[in-house]
Amino acid sequence: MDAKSVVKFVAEGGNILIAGSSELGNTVRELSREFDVEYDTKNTAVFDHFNYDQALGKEKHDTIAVSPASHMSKIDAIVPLDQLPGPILFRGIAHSVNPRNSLLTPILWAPQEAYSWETANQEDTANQNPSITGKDIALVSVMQARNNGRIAFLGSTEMLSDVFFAASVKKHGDQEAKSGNRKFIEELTKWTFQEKGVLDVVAVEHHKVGEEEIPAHYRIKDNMTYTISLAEYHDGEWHPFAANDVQLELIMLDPYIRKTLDQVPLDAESTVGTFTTTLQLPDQYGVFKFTVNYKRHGLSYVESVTTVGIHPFRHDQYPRFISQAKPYYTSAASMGVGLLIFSFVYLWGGLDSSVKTTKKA
Amino acid sequence: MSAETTSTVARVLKPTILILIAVVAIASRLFSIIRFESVIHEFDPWFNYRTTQHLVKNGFYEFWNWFDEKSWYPLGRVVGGTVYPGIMVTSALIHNVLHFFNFPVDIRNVCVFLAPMFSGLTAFSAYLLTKELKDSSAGLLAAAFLGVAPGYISRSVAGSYDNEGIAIFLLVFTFYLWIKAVKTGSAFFGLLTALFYFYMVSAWGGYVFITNLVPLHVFTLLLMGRYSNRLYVSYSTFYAVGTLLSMQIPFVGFQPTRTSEHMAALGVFGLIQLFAFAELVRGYVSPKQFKTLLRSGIVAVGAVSVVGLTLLSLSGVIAPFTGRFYSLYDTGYAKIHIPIIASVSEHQPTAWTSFFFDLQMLIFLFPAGVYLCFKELKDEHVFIILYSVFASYFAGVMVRLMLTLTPVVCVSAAIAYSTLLDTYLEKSEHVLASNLKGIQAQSSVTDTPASNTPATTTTEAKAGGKKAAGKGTPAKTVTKAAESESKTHAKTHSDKKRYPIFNWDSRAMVIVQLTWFLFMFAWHCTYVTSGSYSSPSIVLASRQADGSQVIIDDFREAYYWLRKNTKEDAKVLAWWDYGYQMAGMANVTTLVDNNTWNNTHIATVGKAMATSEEVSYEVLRQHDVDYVLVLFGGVIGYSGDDINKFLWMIRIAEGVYPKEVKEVDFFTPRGEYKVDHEATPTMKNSLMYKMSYYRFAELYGGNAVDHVRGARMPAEGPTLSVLDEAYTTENWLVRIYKVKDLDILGRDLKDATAFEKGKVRKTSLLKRK
Repeated sequence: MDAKSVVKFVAEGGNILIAGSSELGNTVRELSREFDVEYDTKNTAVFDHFNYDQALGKEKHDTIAVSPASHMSKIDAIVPLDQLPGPILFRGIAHSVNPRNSLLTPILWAPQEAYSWETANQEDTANQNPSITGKDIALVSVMQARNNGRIAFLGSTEMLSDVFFAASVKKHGDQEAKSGNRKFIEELTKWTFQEKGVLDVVAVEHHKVGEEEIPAHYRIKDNMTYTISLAEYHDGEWHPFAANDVQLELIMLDPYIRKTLDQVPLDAESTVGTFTTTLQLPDQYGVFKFTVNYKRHGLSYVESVTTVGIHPFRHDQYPRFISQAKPYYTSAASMGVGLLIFSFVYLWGGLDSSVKTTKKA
Repeated sequence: MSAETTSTVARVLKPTILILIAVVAIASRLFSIIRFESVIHEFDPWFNYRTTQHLVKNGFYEFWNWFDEKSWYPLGRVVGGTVYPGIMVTSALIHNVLHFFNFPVDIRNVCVFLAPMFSGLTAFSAYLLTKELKDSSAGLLAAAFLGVAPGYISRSVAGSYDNEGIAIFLLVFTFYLWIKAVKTGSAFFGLLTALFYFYMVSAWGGYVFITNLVPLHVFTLLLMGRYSNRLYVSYSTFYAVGTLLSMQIPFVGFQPTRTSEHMAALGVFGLIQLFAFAELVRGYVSPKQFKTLLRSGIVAVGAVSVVGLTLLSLSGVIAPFTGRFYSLYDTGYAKIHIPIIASVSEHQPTAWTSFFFDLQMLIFLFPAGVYLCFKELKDEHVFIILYSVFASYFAGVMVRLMLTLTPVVCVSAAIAYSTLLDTYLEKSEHVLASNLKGIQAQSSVTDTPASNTPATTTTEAKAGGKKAAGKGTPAKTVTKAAESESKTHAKTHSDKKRYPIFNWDSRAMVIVQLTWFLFMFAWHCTYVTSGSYSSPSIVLASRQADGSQVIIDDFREAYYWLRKNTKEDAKVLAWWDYGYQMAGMANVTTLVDNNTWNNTHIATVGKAMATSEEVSYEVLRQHDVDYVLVLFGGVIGYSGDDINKFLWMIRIAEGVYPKEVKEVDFFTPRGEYKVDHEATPTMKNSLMYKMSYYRFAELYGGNAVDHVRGARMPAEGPTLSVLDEAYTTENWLVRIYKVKDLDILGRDLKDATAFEKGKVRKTSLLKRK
């Protein structure tokens, strides 16, 4: 196994959960680097002399209890905060994430007082600065690749262990509570392996107001209706997706129209969430992209692009007569009538024949 | 041989000769088909062909309202409103008529053969035109000249399915009808002129030449004091009907009332009304009063029109001259202000050699013919003189306008040549003398001041002998002279002065020499046609050392690859030169094409080519580009490739994006345009450079030499990270690259590409503080 084949696996839609420990090898370190995740060097661990668990981290202060309310990202689609019974126990290696990578999100990070340091000689701490400290230390992060492949990075294998699952946490100055590890890991793995937070575009429909068919193209200023149906997968089956922030954009180089779609009220029958809007197309012809670009943390990316041409008026769609031109209609008509009268007068109006002959000579 | 027999023989010979000329004209345009195959040539014809197909397939109204989503992505193009539909409608009509009679001719063949067919008609119109100026023998010569003159063949070989193919016929024929209208003063011919003018407007932007030349002719005649009712009737009919008709073409629309190019015609129309009114007034008031009236009238009208025009121009109601017209006035204008016009090779000023190359002996007979026109100087000769002066100027300014010069050169050369022949072939009498006499006779008629019908000149008599009969004696003589044509021309005059050239040897010398010139001319025309103007340019031919011919068919290879291997709506970015071909042959969506209506869009493409991969990639993404296509001639030495055009791309891009693209960055400190190891970093980082030379060094094992620019390339070629090489043709002439998607892991593509090549990021993102 090398980094390349893992990346290929993700590119083909695979999902990965990577859990490290202080003994993390170089292969995984290099692999993670491709995901903009950097594990600290070998034989380092996260220490915290304030927030350690008094039972498991008594000796080295290396088992830290992280309070989800303040140190876990509030993405309910991945781990819902309110379902965690208590703090999360962590013992392992620190990693940092590249903040410029928008696909990557830290889920759990260390308390302010934590630092990452070598496991062997802890005494040097006073003289040197640790490589990362405090909130920069990510403990668990997730990435959703552009193809919706999901990767979770954990700094600790032990947080997956039965010991940690069953432990009760006692932090200095805090009440003893049940560890939140089991629920946390359950939700995290469900998310990672596409068992929840999966969105799918079921159907995209658009048509002119008053029609049903999808037209080959529109005309400028047409009134049209756009409908997109989304379904969400969780708990083993597809459910209608509900949201109030799904937007439609009409893009030709720049967005011309951006409009929030209204959700059709759900009832017991509905299997999909339907979002719809009716709008008037811009007064601009061209090839437009009807885009729904819905990207929310924890949900798979929805990027639905429908390319439709907006045509100008046809030659027979302009008004036949316009009021501004009435003087011209009048002048043309009067000219015609005048010519007719003139011809009659000239030919049969009793003009003297002698005039004609003199003219001709 | 009696006069009757001669005229009978002539009556049979003339049509035969004309038909033969048409056959020769058509035949000499078929080289390209025999050498290669029946294909559409070059660039613009591919668009015309594509639209014709659309017209034939979907009918006229669909064509009229065609909005082409596949070009100028994503802007689209309103084809019906931005096209001169003449040529498409003509071919579709021919196609439909043939199909109606159950001749299943493919539309492609109609298109391919359209220009040669029309060249036959052009030759016929040249005959008619010249006949109006001199006589039918000069007409036949003119027809023969125009039939084979390379200046015209260059744009009308089989397969060159372009507007000019039919426009030159229309130009010549419209001019013939105009002259006929001026001569006869008939509203009917004025109307016909207007109708053919309309056809011309529908066929070619060069109609502006007619709209300016005809009013200029009228204006000149007015200045010469040659106002006549004939002129009034013909011009008024032509202008009123012609302008109204021309406005029916959507592409022209309201231009005749709003742009400076059309103002001359309108002004002259107004002027001639004033003249007519003045003539009317003259009949009713005394000469003295008339003079004062006229003077004040001129001042008033002049002042009003100058003030009015200035105001209208300033307020923008009348659009100023377009850039293309300024570049006709100042050849340096385009290069500074509109690089897109200057970048087209056919918009460059003409090299003097091409005058000889395109017209051979005609070019030195041409002034002689103009001189002979000056000697006659009837209304129609004034027209030819004006035409030659202006066409010569324009042909000097722009290579492609050689095309408008060619007909007038052929006509005047034919006049000169036939005058020479008349002089030296005449057995007993001397045409020169008779001509002199004829002119005297004519002027005596024209100058008769008391005549109620100043229109009755010899020309009119010629047009209708019966009408003229029974008029004054001078007219009668001339009528006869006109009827009896050149050979018996002199016989009616017995009392003229003679310039005897009796000696058979001096005659023979001239005649033999002239004939020899004719042979040389025909040989030259055939040579030029076959050698220079018969290449379809989509297929190249080259000769190997052993003399065998090699066909280089890379363009079609690449276009067919695109057609077969890309998804239906694939967007391909390439320099605009190849837009029409890609749309026609590869059936892909293009961003820019040869209809260069949107400078910004073209500049954007230029920017994508001229900037670094990172900047370029954003442009490519924004325009949903799937593939990028470049031409690279470095392997086989094809000099028309994109690296040679690159400076124009840079210039055009710089005009719109001066901060991102700078021309100076592409020149070495010594001011040279280099592609080898001396190339500037900007050059080496530009997408165009990278696409052209990607893996080029590998081909030669590190010792690559660019055969176009004679440059030794560095052993280490450029690397590409935002594009993947998709296809390169046999001779490397066309290279197609696929634009990569964003990296799925969110890395930048440079890193992703490096990773694919096995380079793992070694440096830690964390740094010990």
